[in-house]
Amino acid sequence: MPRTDLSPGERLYLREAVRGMGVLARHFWKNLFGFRDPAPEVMERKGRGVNLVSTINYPEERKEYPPGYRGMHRLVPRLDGKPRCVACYMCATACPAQCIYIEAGEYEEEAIEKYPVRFEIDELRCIVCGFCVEACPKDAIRMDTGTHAPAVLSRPLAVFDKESLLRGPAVEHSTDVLTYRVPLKTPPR
Amino acid sequence: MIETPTARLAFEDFGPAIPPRPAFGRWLAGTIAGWTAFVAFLLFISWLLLAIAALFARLGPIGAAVGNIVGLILILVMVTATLLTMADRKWSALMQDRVGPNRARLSIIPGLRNRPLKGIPHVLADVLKMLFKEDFIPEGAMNNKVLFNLAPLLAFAPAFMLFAIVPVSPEVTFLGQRIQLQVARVDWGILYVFALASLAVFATALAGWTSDNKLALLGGLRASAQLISYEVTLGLTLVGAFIAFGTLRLEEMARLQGMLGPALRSAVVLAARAGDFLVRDDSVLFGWLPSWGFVYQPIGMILFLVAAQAEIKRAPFDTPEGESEIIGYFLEYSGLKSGLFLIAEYAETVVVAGIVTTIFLGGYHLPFIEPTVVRHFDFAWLSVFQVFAFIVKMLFIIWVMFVVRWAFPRFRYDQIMRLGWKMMLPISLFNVALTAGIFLWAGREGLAWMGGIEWLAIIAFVALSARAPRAEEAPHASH
Amino acid sequence: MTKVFVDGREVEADPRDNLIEAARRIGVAIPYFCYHPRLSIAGQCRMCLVETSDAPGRLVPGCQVRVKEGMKVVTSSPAVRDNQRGCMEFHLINHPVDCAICDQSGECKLQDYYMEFDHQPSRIRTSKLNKPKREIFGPLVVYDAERCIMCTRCVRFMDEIAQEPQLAVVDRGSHSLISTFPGQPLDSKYSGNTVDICPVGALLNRDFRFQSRVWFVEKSPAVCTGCANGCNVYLESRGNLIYRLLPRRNEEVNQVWMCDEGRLTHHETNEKRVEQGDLARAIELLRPIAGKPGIGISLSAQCTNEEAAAAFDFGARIGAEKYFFTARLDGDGDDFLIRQDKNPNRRGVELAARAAGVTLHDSVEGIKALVAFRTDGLLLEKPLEVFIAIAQNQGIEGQVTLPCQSVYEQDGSVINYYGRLQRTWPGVPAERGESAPAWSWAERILAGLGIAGAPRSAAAAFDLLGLPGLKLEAIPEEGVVLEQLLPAQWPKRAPRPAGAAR
Repeated sequence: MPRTDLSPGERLYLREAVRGMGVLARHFWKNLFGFRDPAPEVMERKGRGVNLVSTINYPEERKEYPPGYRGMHRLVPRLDGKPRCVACYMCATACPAQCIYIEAGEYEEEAIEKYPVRFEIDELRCIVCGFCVEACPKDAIRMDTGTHAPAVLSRPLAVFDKESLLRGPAVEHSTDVLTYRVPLKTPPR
Repeated sequence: MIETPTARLAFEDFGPAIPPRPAFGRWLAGTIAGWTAFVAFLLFISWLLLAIAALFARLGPIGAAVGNIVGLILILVMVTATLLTMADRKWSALMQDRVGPNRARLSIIPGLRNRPLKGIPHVLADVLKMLFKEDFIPEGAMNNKVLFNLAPLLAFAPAFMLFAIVPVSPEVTFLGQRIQLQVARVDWGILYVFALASLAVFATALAGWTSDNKLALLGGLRASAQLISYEVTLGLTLVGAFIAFGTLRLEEMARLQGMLGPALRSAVVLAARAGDFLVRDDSVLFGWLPSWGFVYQPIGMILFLVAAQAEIKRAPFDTPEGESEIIGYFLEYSGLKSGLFLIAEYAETVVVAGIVTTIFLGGYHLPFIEPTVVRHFDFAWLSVFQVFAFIVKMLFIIWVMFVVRWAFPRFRYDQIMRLGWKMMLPISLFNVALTAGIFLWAGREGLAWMGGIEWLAIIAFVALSARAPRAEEAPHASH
Repeated sequence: MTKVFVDGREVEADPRDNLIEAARRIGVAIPYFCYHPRLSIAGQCRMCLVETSDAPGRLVPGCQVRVKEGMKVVTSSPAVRDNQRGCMEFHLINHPVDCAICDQSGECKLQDYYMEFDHQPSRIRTSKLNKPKREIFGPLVVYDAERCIMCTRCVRFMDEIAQEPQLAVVDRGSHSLISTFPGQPLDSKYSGNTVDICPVGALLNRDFRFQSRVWFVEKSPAVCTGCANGCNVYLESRGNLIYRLLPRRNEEVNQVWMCDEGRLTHHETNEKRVEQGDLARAIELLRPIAGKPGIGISLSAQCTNEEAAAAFDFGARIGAEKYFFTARLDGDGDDFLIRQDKNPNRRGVELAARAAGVTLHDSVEGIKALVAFRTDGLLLEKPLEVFIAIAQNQGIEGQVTLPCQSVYEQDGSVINYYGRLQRTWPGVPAERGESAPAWSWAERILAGLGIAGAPRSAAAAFDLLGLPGLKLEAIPEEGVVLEQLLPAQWPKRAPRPAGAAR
């Protein structure tokens, strides 16, 4: 891009400089007297006497996450409280960070044979890409908790097991196997 | 019933999104209460300064001097400079639509747990940090340990000594003592400022050289060159003021910008007879313009402000320091010594603001209403209001300097040199010649006319100067 | 040779070829479910219908029609494509599409062909037929009738290859399913092969079920250690675990089959392993007695040729007095793929002994110290002064037990019952503990005793066998027959080298 040749008058930038100071002064007085638009996306304002500057004082104040925000994972429960997950390993296969560890097991008497005995996510390795949610054929893993992975004091604590991931509202779809199939009585082995 | 995977959990868990705006009445009451408290506080400080001076004056002439030192240097300058470290950040936050520092807490005091207190605790936190940080001296600086330690003192001490000649109040009888809020009344007045301000060069040069660090040395060189360059302009811009007031003494200059003692007394008598609005103030030019320095010396004032900003190494003239990128002369200092360099900068700001107030903004004078004040109160109370006026004017100049600081990006070194030698020096020389000529031809009245014309010319020049060229249209706009 | 034209390209086909095999010769894949080259033709799936010049305007099953001189075959005309799409839709009418929990997914023909030939959403609006799921057929096989497409490969396999007709089709139409006879499980020793040949997830291996997904495991070639037959296999492993064994084609050893017992041999590699060993203590124990009389070496028929050769080399260098040969007990055998001798390398150890010129004794006696190269079948009647075991699995503990890699984990060669020298490759990606091949332990013990010259690699140990003109790296994938070891008598149905006496 060629440099613009400035005339001496332009090079002084005098008018712009004075305008700039004017802008600062205007903002100063406006903010000093609190004539500010409130930040609409702030979920709650903590404490008394806060001004309405759109800055979010994070630990005390929080911003509403946009819909589709990828938060911490959860394993979606069925209506009976068991995980919807059938341990198909699709999430583990899709995961580019290889942070999902699954061990499959077999239900004794149920229409869906397979379930995860262990389902662990290493939230430190997770890159929050959401591929696992995309890959899941059973809508069994979601990132709709609206929370971050919490800070931990040691690395093993960032590995979340099935029990801690299994939370949130239960979900049932009309296409679920459980809705149309009676439990099997055949012992597995 | 097929739910979308993006559940609305987060939205349901927390209450209404938009906080209610505080009611207007509450806002108005709070604002009025706050500003009233602020004014009352400043008035109390003004009374306190005078009271301290009067108290010490009972101990004789030396006591009076000590009282002024305590009141002005230790209380006014020191406290203001300390608070400016905070104000710099808070004001810049206001200018830039931010909140500014508010994380420090005084949690050890029971009622103040988790109260930001508008960031005031940060002052304490900063001081404690400076005090308790390791005072590290680099190996290369051990050879010149004395000079290395001397540098921050040379930066710190002159900044405070400069305030010694600034008059904060007129000579007045307060609590039975004849006092004036001024540490030293010397014949050579403003020359004292120039002399002491030059000492700052030693601080930067010493700090840069003894640090045994090439980056610090370069910073010191930049600082020395900049300070020496702008001292020339700094001196020449005030020559016009000397001509206009015919004195070097700051207290004389301040006195000359308002009503002198006898005239004030007669005005008070007149006001008592004819009413407050018919008072004739013989210091007012053309019947409406206070005869303050900025009327006589517009160019001088603007150039002095710019040169002073350069002299105290504040943005946009902060190439000697360049904290974030190019690193400055106090690179190797840590702990309290580093703090001395930093606080010296703010102290210099206060001093420069005081000098500008004294010479160009009428010093402690209140415009128009001094006889009225005396008629309704008395001369002692007038002095309280005058000290208050001085502080307010000083704060205003400080505020202007901060606005300049945040409005301008840092100048490059060559730009600083070009501005100093090729623009400001010729203009200040021209100003001296013009002022001298006009003064010889038409006296102070003529200087006032000249000042008015100069103000108009400056405003016209700024208004008519070219706007910055707009950014060119992005090429992808046409596709 | 018969000349036919497949999609306009000339093919030199065998007269016995059907159209699928003829097209395969030039790389044209005709899709099929029920056809298997080694089984009889059923024509069940109708997936392989193609157009030929012999029957213009009609579709003929490619599996059933033999090639004829000058025949023109069209495998991708609109009619053929339409049939393939329709077939897929039919097969998927009652398919539960539970790929998420199906072990076959990833190697399922329904998945592959759906993507290739169908690729459209289901048009079925009625509910699917519910059939028995996870029915236990036998010790190794579980059956899911919903996934079954009734190709009858398993039925034909049990009839024709295993020759134990234990499976049959029962019921009719869309209710038909595969079943065993009442009260009689699928307990054939070759039942695992029905899982292999099942094109969908209807028959699954209970041992491998839910253990891993097939795309996680890596395939590598090896030789089964279950018996002396030396079936060629693929290991499927991940980390330091082997998940399953699949037969690898070798016409002269196992064709494309393997027995159930062999399929489970990877458990020895996965479980109850010795993982750590104190080499320094072993050296300490051997130092005072090295070169003195009373040292014995025992080696098991589980050793690879390299380990056996290194054992004799070790014995010679340390001055061993006696050599003992141990082996697992004989088991059941048959005339197809299962040998009575349950050791993979008895012939190899004997060959190495002859090459080293030593005599092998059966029972361990008359010595004070013993170094055991693999402890399978080792019986000690009374405690010895010094007993160092190089062992793969826990069970027999010496004063020092050094962890030995399994045959599946190391590079080497074995010789099967009729003298076929076959190479086996390391097939487990991750190491397990300190385990190493026995020849490596021998070399390290000797180095600790200050004796140099022992073989430092599998190839060097192989050279001690004294097989002229053979190198370990030069053994072809299908193996080499050592003519001098060929037996006089052959099991009746067992595959044998081309040209061997029948």
